[in-house]
Amino acid sequence: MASIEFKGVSKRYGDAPATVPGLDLHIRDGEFMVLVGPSGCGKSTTLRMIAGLESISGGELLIGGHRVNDLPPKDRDIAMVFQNYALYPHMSVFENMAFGLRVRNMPKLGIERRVREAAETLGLSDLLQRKPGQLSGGQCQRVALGRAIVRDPQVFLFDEPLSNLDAELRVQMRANIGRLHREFGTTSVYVTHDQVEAMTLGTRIAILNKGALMQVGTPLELYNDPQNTFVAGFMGSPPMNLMPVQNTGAGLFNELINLPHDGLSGLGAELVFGLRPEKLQHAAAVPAHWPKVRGTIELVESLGAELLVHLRGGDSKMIARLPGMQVLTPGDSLELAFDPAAVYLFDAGTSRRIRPQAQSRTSAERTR
Amino acid sequence: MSRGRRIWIACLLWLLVWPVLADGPQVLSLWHGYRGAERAAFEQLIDEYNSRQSAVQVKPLAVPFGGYADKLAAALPRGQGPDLFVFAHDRLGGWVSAGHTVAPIDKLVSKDLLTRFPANLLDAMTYDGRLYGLPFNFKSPALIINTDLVDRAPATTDELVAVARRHTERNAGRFGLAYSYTEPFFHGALMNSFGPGPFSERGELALDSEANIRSLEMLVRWVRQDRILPEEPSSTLVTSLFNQQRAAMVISGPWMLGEIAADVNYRVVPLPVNSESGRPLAPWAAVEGLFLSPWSKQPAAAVDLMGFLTSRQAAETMAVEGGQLPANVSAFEHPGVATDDTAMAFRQQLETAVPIPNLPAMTLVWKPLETGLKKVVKGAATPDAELHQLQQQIGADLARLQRSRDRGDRSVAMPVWLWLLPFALVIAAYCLWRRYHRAIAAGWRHNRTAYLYILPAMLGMTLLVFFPLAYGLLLSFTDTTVFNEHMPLWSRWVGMDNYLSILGDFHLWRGEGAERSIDFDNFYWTLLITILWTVSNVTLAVGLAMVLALALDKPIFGRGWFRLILILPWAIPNYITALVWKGMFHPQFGVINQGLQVLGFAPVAWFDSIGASFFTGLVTNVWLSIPFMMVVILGGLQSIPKELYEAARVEGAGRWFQFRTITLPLLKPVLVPAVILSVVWTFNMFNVIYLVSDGAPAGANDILITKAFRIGFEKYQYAYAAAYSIVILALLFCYALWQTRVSRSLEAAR
Repeated sequence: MASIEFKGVSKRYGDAPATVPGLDLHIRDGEFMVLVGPSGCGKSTTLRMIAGLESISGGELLIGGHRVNDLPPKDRDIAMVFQNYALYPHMSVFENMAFGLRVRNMPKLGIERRVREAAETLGLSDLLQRKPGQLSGGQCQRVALGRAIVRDPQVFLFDEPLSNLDAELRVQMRANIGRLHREFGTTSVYVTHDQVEAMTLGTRIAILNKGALMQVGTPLELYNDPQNTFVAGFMGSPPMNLMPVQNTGAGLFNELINLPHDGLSGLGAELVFGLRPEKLQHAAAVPAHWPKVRGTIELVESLGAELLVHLRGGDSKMIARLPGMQVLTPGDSLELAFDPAAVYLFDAGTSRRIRPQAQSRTSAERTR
Repeated sequence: MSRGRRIWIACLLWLLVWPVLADGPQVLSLWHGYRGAERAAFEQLIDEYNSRQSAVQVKPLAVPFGGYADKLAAALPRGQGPDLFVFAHDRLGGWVSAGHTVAPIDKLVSKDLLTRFPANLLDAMTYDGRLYGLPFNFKSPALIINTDLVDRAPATTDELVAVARRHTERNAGRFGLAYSYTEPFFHGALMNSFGPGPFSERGELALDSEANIRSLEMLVRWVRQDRILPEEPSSTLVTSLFNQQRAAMVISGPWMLGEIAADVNYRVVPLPVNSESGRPLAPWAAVEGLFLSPWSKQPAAAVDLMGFLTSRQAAETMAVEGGQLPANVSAFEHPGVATDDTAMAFRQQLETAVPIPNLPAMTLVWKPLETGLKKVVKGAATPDAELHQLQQQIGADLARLQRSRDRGDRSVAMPVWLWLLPFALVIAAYCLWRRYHRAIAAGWRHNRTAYLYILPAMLGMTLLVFFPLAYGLLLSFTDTTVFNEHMPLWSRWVGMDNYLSILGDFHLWRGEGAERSIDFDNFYWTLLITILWTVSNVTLAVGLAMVLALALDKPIFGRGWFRLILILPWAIPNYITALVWKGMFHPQFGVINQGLQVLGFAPVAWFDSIGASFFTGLVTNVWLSIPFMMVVILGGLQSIPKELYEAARVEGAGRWFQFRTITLPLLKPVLVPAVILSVVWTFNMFNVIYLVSDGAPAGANDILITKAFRIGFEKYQYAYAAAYSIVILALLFCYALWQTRVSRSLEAAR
């Protein structure tokens, strides 16, 4: 069993405010858990605490059911892949990969076999005698991966391993890592700030902000059902449109939208309205009762297959994702519509998701 | 007449008149090395002489004492020196032998005038039967007693020893008698009381005479039986003991008086009579004399000046205002001097004093005799065996110098083939020019500014590095010594002789039977010691520096302070450090032996055995080398990415494994050049060996570079020393080549 459990784990450096105030997280055996969040959110610190490279200030960390707070890294049976590869520059690829096995006094033949197997898996068989200085970035990262695989540990740790690679290589390596996880099934913890990696690789994703856990769940859960504005605004590219709206009791309105809505009594005067850019469509193509958005086009970004249109209404702004084969000019006014069921509401003060009891009136009429 | 013509005629007239007008006073140039009160008094006399008459104007020049001898040696033989000069008398023999440095004055001075000087002082200025100048002043050691401890001056050496024994308490560091007894200058007093000293009546070297052996036996008795003298003496120690009232009597000269503390009551008395021989202890006197240059155009005027400067009045001025002991002893009747007990005591000592032999061979005696004295007083050799050995050794050196001098005496015509050399050089230059001038011109045009920028540095390098190197190389093929250095180069040519005698020197042992000992002057012995020295130093320094660097790499408390403290040894000039360590290792008063005794261990005689003496140098040099190595290794450590250690930790490597597999290999590019530098510097570390152990015992711990120094500047065999240095250069060059090749092949093999 190689599950990882954080029970109120905190990390503090000296007298400074805690980097990780208190984390409760359960990573299941065989799961690929991605820790994601903006810079300084404590994800690398958390990872290093699992590795044993940082001490734990409070709480308990269990790996495979055993408390490991005071266990040194070498006794935790984990392997780590670093952002800068951390390959030993004076040793060949073979020796780099064999290092961990040499330390554990494995017999030479055994080492040789394991290293060659791992090299085969990662396509490194021709590079075994080269030194890291003679390899490209992608090859180096593969060697770092190979070094981790060879050990056959109970947990893999990845510390932003693809950040130093170019876009094309990143795609390839993502595929490699995904394949390896499917093949070996080892519990993996992966730290990244790139949500594309998070979405594609993770079995589950844990979003962290300023050391606190914002939400943990599968990629689709986080995408479709965010529990706070941070998660809502973090997942998705371009991010969800979040704007303050006034609550009249009967509906929500601001400079861009006017939405009749039920169940708003008892909620604050100002709420946060959320809508994904792809949920905005041309008014002509949707049912007539769908609420409208009217604004001026501020900017049009063409991505080939689609357009990102920035709409402005007074001080409010929204971004819409529209099909690419149309001509829109900045300065023109535009009218779009959206499905009222796709609206998210958040409390303006706590940023938490509000789920009003009644649906908005128009869709309720529809289901009736 | 036109204006131009008038000017022409005026100039012509002036040219005619000039020689007549210019027949003003003659100018005599006079060099001296005086400072302070002496200088003021001396120049006052010169002014008086100048104002008295107008025929001669004397221009004095005060030369800083440090370079005075060299300046004379450089200027005089080329005819560029002064008309007359003041200097110590003991170099007279060397000067006369070398020639062109001093001129005899017998014919220029009246016998009457000479009666104003005591006979022994005139002897000092005489060589080979001819008088070369007039004595100006004298200095000799005498007995200085602490009147609080000793009330009566001892009349005989037996009395001296008895009084000294009463005042000696070794455990408390108190001694009855203290003087620098291993310096031959002081031991001369004993030698001269038994016989004629190091040289026989006829002027031949006779160190192993019966008389000298007896003098040495007496000293050994004083040191080892009566035990009235401190160990490892030096003039600093003697002064310090006297000032702390821990030495009842000292033997020293007027030079010490200025350093005696104000609260010590003392009296100067003549040295006692030798109870064994019945003759008084006769210390050596150093005489300062006025010498005449052979190039002077006004020798008569110069001698006249000499007469004035040694007149009674002048002598009185120098005594009263200059604080000197004048050679014209009638000055001692002056009330200002007659009432000075100290001055009168030295005057009395003069009666029995003997001038330092001015024979050229004397210069070769000082250092070896000092080494021999040190050996004998420690009991490492018996007086007669040691003196026999010294006699043979110095005799051999003398013969060698004599050979070189004979070689210089024979005037050899410049060999014909030597003319081909410049001719060949010109042809070679022309061929090279023909071949490369276009490339050179292009390079010059392109990089003109760059060449101009490096020109000053290249000039400096050429002058200070390349030229001396080339000259040294040239010199090593000759037989140049102090005696023949002014002869033309080709007359001293000996080809590879010097190298053959250095490298072919297989006489490791000397002496017979029970007295066999290693000849420490042997090249291969010295090479062995040098290699041992280098290897042990570099290993220890690198090892300890590695430990310290590893400790300081981690953010421990007070790291900044530790780094500062550990750099300090580097900041202190290593000359000072060496002297401090030497003081700490003093067997009697050094803090190390004191510390050992406090801890209950027996004190170690640091400079008596080869191993202990080696250890003193080792400790000092390691202490000096650690900062540099530590800084280099720290820099290397900090350039190793921390992530590698983290990766290794995660992979399960312990601290030692990490050190072996990550730290050491990644430090290699930084360590290898540092080690090469350290090896070269340690191989040539002159200061530590010379200042701390001085090669003790008896030159056993000399390394190649100090040996070369001694050959050049204590034995005056300049060419042999040059060859020695070239051998050292060749050894280090081969080492550097080998080291680079080894490290490169190690790199390639990886």
